[in-house]
Formats: sequence, structure tokens, C-alpha cells
Amino acid sequence: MAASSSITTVTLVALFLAHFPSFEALYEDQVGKFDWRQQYVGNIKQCIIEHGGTRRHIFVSTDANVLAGIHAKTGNVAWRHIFRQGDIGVINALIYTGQELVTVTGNGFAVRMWDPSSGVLQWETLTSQTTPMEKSQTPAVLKFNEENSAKKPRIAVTYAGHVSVVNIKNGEELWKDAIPNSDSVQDFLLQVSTDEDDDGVLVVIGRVPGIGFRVVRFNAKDGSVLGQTQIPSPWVQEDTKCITLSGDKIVCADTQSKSIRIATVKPKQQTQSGFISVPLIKLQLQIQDFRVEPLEKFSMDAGDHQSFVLRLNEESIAWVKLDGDDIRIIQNIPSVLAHSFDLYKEQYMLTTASEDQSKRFILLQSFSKDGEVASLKNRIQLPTQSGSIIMVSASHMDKKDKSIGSRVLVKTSDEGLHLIQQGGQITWSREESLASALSVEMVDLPVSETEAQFEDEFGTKKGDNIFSMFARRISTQMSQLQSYFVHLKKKIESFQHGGVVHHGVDQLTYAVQYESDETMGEYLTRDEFSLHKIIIVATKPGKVFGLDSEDGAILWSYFLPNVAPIERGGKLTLPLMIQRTTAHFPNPPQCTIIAKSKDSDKNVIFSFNPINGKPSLPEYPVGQVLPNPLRQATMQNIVDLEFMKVIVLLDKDNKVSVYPSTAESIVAKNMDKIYLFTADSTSGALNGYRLLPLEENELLKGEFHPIFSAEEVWHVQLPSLLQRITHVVSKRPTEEVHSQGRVLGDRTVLYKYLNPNLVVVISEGEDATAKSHVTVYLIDVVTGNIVFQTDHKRVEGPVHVVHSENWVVYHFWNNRFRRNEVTVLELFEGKSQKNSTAFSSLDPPSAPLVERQSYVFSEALQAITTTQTEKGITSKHVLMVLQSGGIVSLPKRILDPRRPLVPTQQHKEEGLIPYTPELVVPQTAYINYNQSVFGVRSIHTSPAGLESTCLVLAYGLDFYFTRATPSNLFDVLKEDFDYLLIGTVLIGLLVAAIVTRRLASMKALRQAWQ
Amino acid sequence: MATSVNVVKNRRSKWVIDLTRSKQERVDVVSPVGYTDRTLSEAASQEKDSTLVTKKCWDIALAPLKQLPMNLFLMYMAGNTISIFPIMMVGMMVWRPIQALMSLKATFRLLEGSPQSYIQMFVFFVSNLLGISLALYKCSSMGLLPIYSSDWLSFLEPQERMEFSGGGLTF
Repeated sequence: MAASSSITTVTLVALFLAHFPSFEALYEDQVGKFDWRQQYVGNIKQCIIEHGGTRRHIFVSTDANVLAGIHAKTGNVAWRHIFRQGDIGVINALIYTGQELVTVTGNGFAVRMWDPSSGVLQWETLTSQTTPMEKSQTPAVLKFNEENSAKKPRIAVTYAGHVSVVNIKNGEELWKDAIPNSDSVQDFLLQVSTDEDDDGVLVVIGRVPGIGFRVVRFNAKDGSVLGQTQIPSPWVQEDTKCITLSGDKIVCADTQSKSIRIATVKPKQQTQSGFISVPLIKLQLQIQDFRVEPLEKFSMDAGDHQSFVLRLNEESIAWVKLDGDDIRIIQNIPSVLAHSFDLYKEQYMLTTASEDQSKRFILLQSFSKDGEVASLKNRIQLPTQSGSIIMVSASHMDKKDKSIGSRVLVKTSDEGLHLIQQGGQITWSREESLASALSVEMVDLPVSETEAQFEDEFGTKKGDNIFSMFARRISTQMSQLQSYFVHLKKKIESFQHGGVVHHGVDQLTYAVQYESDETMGEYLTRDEFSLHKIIIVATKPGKVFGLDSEDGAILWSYFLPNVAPIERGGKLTLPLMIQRTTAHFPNPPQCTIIAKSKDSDKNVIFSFNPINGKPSLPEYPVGQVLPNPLRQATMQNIVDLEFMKVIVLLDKDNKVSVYPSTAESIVAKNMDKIYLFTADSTSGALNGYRLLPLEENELLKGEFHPIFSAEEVWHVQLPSLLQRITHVVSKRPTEEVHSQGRVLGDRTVLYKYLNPNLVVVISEGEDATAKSHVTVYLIDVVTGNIVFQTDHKRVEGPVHVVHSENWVVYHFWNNRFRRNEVTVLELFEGKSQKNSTAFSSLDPPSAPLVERQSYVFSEALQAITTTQTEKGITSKHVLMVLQSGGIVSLPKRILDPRRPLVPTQQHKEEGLIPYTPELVVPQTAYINYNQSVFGVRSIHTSPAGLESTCLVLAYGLDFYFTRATPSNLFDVLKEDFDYLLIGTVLIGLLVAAIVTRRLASMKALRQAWQ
Repeated sequence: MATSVNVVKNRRSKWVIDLTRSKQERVDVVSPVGYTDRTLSEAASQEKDSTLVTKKCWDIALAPLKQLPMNLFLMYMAGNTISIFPIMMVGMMVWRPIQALMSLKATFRLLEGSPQSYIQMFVFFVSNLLGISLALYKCSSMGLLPIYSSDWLSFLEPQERMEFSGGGLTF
């Protein structure tokens, strides 16, 4: 009995295994082999360097609503928290007491305390039960000690007309009170005075522009109102900066009368004295646009310093001190780009950063109350493409020999972070601008020099005779052989040293600069299947990077200090175009960025070589400013004589110019084929244009001067009331479609509707009954014909959309059923093609059949895209980056609108899966295993040289690069392919064949003898 | 000297292969007793029986037709799945009639003596064609014949783009 049961179990297991679908998953040893992840924190807003001891973290809060702890030694992210996007997640204050790290987020909505070493949340206190309003004012935050004892740290936060005091130790809200008469108050100041005999007084000062200050005094212990007064001061402007100082002082910078105004808030008395004005001329200071800044944010100055900073203009500051009702200068520092204060041995230390004349070095200086500390003066050379300094943060500590040491964190205008040790050594640099990457492209590496010579063999010159060609061939082959031996030698050497680390960099959580340029040229050559590429990243501050696709190291970077991103439909973009790839040796590859100028409303165009990051036109190192502001710029799939794709620029006056200007004749030749269109996000207007030659008298000579005018040929007005266009998605121009149709169950063909001019336009908004809805239009942009449109009611964005071949997939939130949904549209021409050789929008086939289906999806998305391969033979997968951090690769055949409800034999023949409303994501579809990615802005795919493989880069706060193989690696032998066995068998068979042949002939001979 | 000749003689007396002798020179071996060169007919009386010849020729002519029921049965048994044995079978089914048609001349020569030779030739030819068509039908039911437009789909070139368009949201 037992035996039989065990047999059945074995059979069952065998059956189970046999029927289990084969998985496309990663082996343990493949982790990190083809993929890498980098984590960023974003543009730093505030940073605190942890003092001495074993605690070596730098705490930062950033524009991307990120709180992070960074290892001071390595620059790696120790821990990181990403708050929600928008106002609710914005970090207003970051306070470090030495034991506790406290954040105030959501404009005062939430106060949280984190464990500094691990980043674990200790407590969370919400100052209000209701969620924050759309536009709430910046809160005033103050850390103070109750009863002047460090054991009772408190934090006071204003939020929506209330003030809350929270115990920092345990998060308990000690008291909360409404601030009387807080309606017209622009912002609050907080102050605490504890020199009284009683419990201490928390003073809330509301600033009302044009009127003055409303002062409310609370008992700091129980929150009872002690009294309220007003300080009338009609000089207060909307932008007047005020600070509070210890000793019950308020200090304001009155820019109109160029004076400092000081008032003393009297805690006890009901009558309140007004402001005293101290003109700055008295101090003999050069002032332009000055403001006052406290030494420490969010806490009163230690002791009774009563000192603060006067920023006199962009380049100079003065450290001043209140002296009764007067001001005394402690330090006047004429050229300062950034400064910071640090408390060292109960004394404030001022650290300043400035640039020298040549702008190549920066100077870090430290000042105490008595003067400059000479030992802390450092002269540092920052990496060349860093921009100017905009923030410093210093920490001073005792060194082993009891002398003073410092550690300075410098933030530059390219959003880079550099930690500088005493002695002027840069310990590490983080390129945080990568966290705000706006566009990404992948470029093939060039072929090696010898291979390029090889291609050169048959010559560009015509006069070559056969002997010189032969000689060239021999010489290139010799050098190829030589380089092969060098390569082999290196390979053996690296094998002996064990492990190949390309850049001398181990797994890091952020990109680090490539160390030497020497081996770079050799390293950066195309591999067999061009799996190794350069990733070009254009970022918001205007810095362009070339990343190595193997490990994400920075190969080069180039900073354009004069550019800003272009805003299109509420989103920041930085159009990046590959004008010429590396395939056209000896012409160098070229990429072009179009951006907005920081100084004017004009546009800047900048071309560079994507392999080395050098500008293509060295005479324009920061790009060329276009004479007219642009409305639209697109790259056309038309190449000039040097294989350069043409960029067509449409300016605000509907005049068209061409970049490069050498391609004007090519464009003129194809003029009647080129159509442009524009979509206006808010007005909902779509316009189509064709090119017309300009009149002779309108022609201007010179680069970027228009040579065509754009004539409007169609106009489509989408409903614009309460809605706006959020997406205009065209197909990728480089996309290859292998199959022109789909084979049905009866073996006929359903031809795809492959209109290259089809664009998806999505508008989001509300309808007349204030219910959200989303409308999707498919528009032919040559004729303006709306091919298809569909409306989703009670549905809201953000919509994520992908458009490829003949299908569109989009994802949205269904408000009615409270779930995420994915819809797929697929367009077919029908069972016959109107014209099988060419597609013209002017002579279009009849209206396409549109198949559509929707599915319930379990998760919200961060980004969506589709895989792209060299020839388009490999089946497509849809890549979705989930809010929960996974990247899911879903086969397109799951998102197929032809999936039948009741499958018939024909459907089965066609290979259709029966329709199920839920899209189930199998665990094996996660291509990033446990490497979750957050804050992803977009996901980019690029074909590799292997047809089966597609390179994927998700970018944003996290970068994740991997290879996707939708149809498995069908064109590569498996890694575990047994070369030895096959080789042995083949050789064995060969030997056996020879031996048996000999034996057979011997036998035949012997038989002949008989 | 004499002794050496003797030795040679002695050896020769055992056996010898003469490699110098050419084929033409081959001396006819004397036939064994009872052997004749002529082929013997079984019965000389039947030599002139023409009905027998016709019958024999019909056998030859109808041989491919007789194969058909067998083939039909095999076809039915093999089913429409594509695997090695049905493919081999269908291959044989196609190949055999083609082979027969290729050696049509030789077969016709065999049939020449028969009085109904033309009909027989025609029957032979048609039955072979029938065999081929049956095999082709099998091929088509197995989906091996490229007779649908879907079979030529992958040879279809992508459509050429007549217009170039570009644009998007305004700057």
C-alpha cells in the first residue's frame, strides 16, 4: 500500500514537473552580471553633516522629496526615504539634535523622527487630522528646549493657522492651539524665550505685508495664550525677509530704505515698542539686493549670540552681531559664493566658498569670531564640468592631535555634490543631476581603429590601384593580429588577477567618474553583438552625461550652464536626438540637444559627439542661440550627403529653418513630403503645416535663418474646456516592423494598419458634471484625420501610454471601480492591403478596424514602454515600471484585443489566450528581481546587435539597466552549452569514421584474397 | 642455374596470378556440364498467349492505383499532426509516383507489347497523378502547402513611407 502510494506521488510530481511552464528567470550567479542599479537622492535642499565619533553620515533633504543618509566615507546611500510627490511630501525642515533626526513634511502636516544610523522611522505625529490643502503656506519650524534643559527637546510647527508643539523624544503632541487672527498672515516666525522664571514663552509672530506683525504669546509648556499685541510696520513688503534672534529680537531687511530694522518682542508687557531702523550706510557696506539670514535654520542661535548674516549681494556677506540697538560687524567677507555655519565647541564657525580669478579653483575658508582659521584654508580644483558653487555645508571636529579639522560638502550648480576633506582632497563626488534626467538615448560604440581601417580598405579615393589596396589589406590584418595578441595577453593577465572590473570600481550605488582616459579609447570599441553601448543622459540642470552601459560609470560629462529645460504641456523636456550614429565612419557620430536659454526666451541648440562628449562645433562650446524662439523642433528621417539626419525647426512666426544648414537643399528637394504639426496643451488646438519656399526678398543669409514658411493645412480643435492635452505620442521613427499582418486561424491574413504618421493624443480633464474623464484620439498628422477616438468616463490620470507598430496600450485609474486599468487598441487594415508597397496618408486605406480590450491591472505605474529589437522579428513585450518598484515584462500577446471570451477552434489555431478581465503578473515577469526602482521618470529601450536582445534603462531617482529577451536567447547558444561533450563526440565520430574506413578497406582486401 | 628454374617451375605448378593479362585476352572458361547460355522459357507453348501478356501489363499499369487505398488508410491513420513519421510517409507518397513518372519511358517500353498499350499507359500515368494529388491533398490538410496569403506574409516588404511628419506639443 505504502509502496503504491509513494509511486503515485512520484508520478504526480513527475507529471507536475512535466506540465509546469518553463521559466525565463535569472540564475543566482547571473545577478548583477547584465544589470546594474544606481540610487540617487536628487537636488539637495538641506544637508547636515553628522559630527565625529563612529557616526559618519550626511543627512540630506532634496527637491525630489527624498530624505537620505549618505555614508560620509564612500558617498553611498546608506538609507533613503522617498516621500510622496507634490506638496504633501515636500520636506520643509530637517533638524538633527545629535540623537534624533526630525523632519517636517507636507508644509507642516507631518512631523517624523528617524533613527540617524539606520533611517528607521521612530515616530510620526500628524499635526492635523485632515489632509493638507492644495496650497498651504510654508510652515515655521523651531526646535527649542523646554525649561532650558537639553533633556526636553521640543519642536514647534505652524500648520493651517495652528501651532503645535511636539516632544522630540517620543513624538507626543504636547499641545496644539489655534493662532488668533491668522487670516491675512503671509508667514509666521517663531521665537522662544526661556529666561523668565516661568515655563518659558513661545512667541508666534505673523507677518502681514503692508500692516505689520501680529504677536501671540503662548505658554511653552501648556499652550495657554499669554497675550497678543501688534507691531505696526507698514514698510513690510511681500518679500521682506525677517528672522528671529535670541533675546526676543526680530530683525528685518528693509530693502526699500536700505536699512536693517530691529524690534524687541516684550514677552510680558502688553505695550509693544516699534522697530528701530539701522541704515546700512552707517556700516559702510556695499549693498545691492541684501537680505538677512539666520546662522542656524529652525533653531535659535546658541547661547546669546544675537548674530546673523547679512547677504549684501550675490558675492559678499557680512557676519554681524546685534549690539544693543546697533549692529557690529564681526566679519566682512567680500567675495563669497556660499557659506555655512557650524557650532564647534560652543562657538560658531563660518565656512565660505569662493572662486579664484581663473574660475578653475575654489577657495574654502573658515572664520571664527576672532578671524580666519588659517589651517582650514583650502584651495581645491573641482572636476572641470561642475559649474559654480551654490551651497556649502561644513562640519568641524577635533583631529587626533587635538587641532581643528573640517569636512566640507560642496554643492555646485550642476547639482553635483563633492565632499572635501581637510587638505583639499575630494573624497567623493555625486552627480545628483542624474536624478533629474530628462531624456536618454543609447549610442553604439564605434568599431575599433583597425576595423575602421579595414572598412576603409576599398577606399574612398578612386585613384587606388590594386597593389596599394592589397598592401593596405596586409598591413591592417597584421595590425589586427597584433592587437589580438595584446588583447589576449590582457585577458590572461586579468584572468590571473581574477575578476574583471572595468573601472576599478566595485558595486556603487551611484555613478562615479572614469579614472583615466588612456585605456578608454581601446575599451570603448564595439563588441560582437553591440551589447555594450554609451548611454547619453541629458539632465535638468543642463548637464549631459555619457554612461557606460556595462556598469553605469560616467565616461564623460559636459555642463551647459546657460540652458534650462523646455516646458511642454506641464512637463519638462530636453529633446535629445541622435543625428548620426557611429555607423558612418569616418564621419563622427553626432547628438543634438535643444533647450531653452536661461537668459532669454530663445532656444539653444548644442551638438556633441556622443562617444567622447566633445562639442561637434568647438567654436560653440555652450551651443548656439537660435535667433527666434521655437515652437517645435523635430528630427526627420531624411539624411544629407554626410548621413546626418535633418532637424527641422519651426519658430513662433511659422518660419522654418533647417539644422544643419548644409542640408537645406536636401530638405528643399523633399519639401512636398514633409509635414509638421503642433499641439497646444491648454487650448487643445492641433495644427498641421506643410513647407513652402520663402519669397526671395524674405530670405536672409546666415545660419538658422528661415528658408521655408509653414503653411497651415489643417486645424483640429479638441474640446478644451476643463481639459488639456497631456500626451502626444508618435511611434518611434527607428522602429522596425517585421510582419505586415497577423495570421488568423483560417490561415488568412489580417493586415496591420501601419500608418507612420499616426499619433496618439490624450486629453485629461473633467466633464460638465465635474467627473473626471480621459479621451484618446488617434490622429493622422499629415491630413488631420481623426482615425479613431474613445472616451473613458470617470477615469483619471496620470495616463501612461505606449504606441508601437499598430497598437496602443495605456494605463489609467478608474475612479468608478477604484482600480487600475489597462486598455489596448489594435488597428488593422483588413483582409487585403490597399497598397502593399507604400503608405501614403494622402491616399489612405479605408478606415481601419479597431480592436480594443481593457483589463484590470493590480498596480499603479511609474512608466511604460515596449521592447525594441534590431529587425522587429522578436515578439514584443510591454515593460511596466510599477509604483511598488518592480519592472514587469508582459508579453504583448497577453495584451491582445483579439483575445476571445469563448474560444473557438480557430482562435486556438491562432494561438489566442481566452479573455480574462484580470491581468495576472507572474512573479517571473519581474525583470529586476529584488532591485526595486523608485522615482522612475521614464523607461528607455534600445535594440542590441542581437535580434533577441533589447537593452532597457529605467531612469529617474533610480537608474536600472538590464537586458530584456522577450523570446529568450534564441540566437545564442545557451551558457551551459556543452562544448566539450559536443566537441568530443564530433572528434570521436570523425576518428571512428576514419578508423572504420581503414578497417573496412582492410577487410575488403582480405576478402579479395580469399 | 637449373635448380633455380626448377624452383620457379615448382611454384608455378601450385598457382599463379598473371597481372599482365588484359580483359580482352580472357579465355572463356569451359562451361560446366549441363549449363546452357540460353534462357529457358517455362513453357514454350505459352509464349504466344497474348491474354497473359495483357494481364501482366494491366498488372503493371494498375499497380499505382492499387496503392491508393493503402495510402488512404495510412493517411487516415497518420493524422494531421506534423511529426517525423507522417512527414516521412507523406514524403514517400509524393516521391514514389514522381519516381514512377520519371521512369515513365522504361515502364512504357514494358507495356509496348500489349495490344491495349495506350490505354494502359494512360491508366498508369493517371493513377500516378492520382497518387500525387492524394499526397498533395494530404500535404494541404497538414498545412504544408503554401497556398494561403499568410504563407507569403514574411516575404512582404515593409510599406514605404510617402510622407514625413514630425511635431508634438509646442515648446
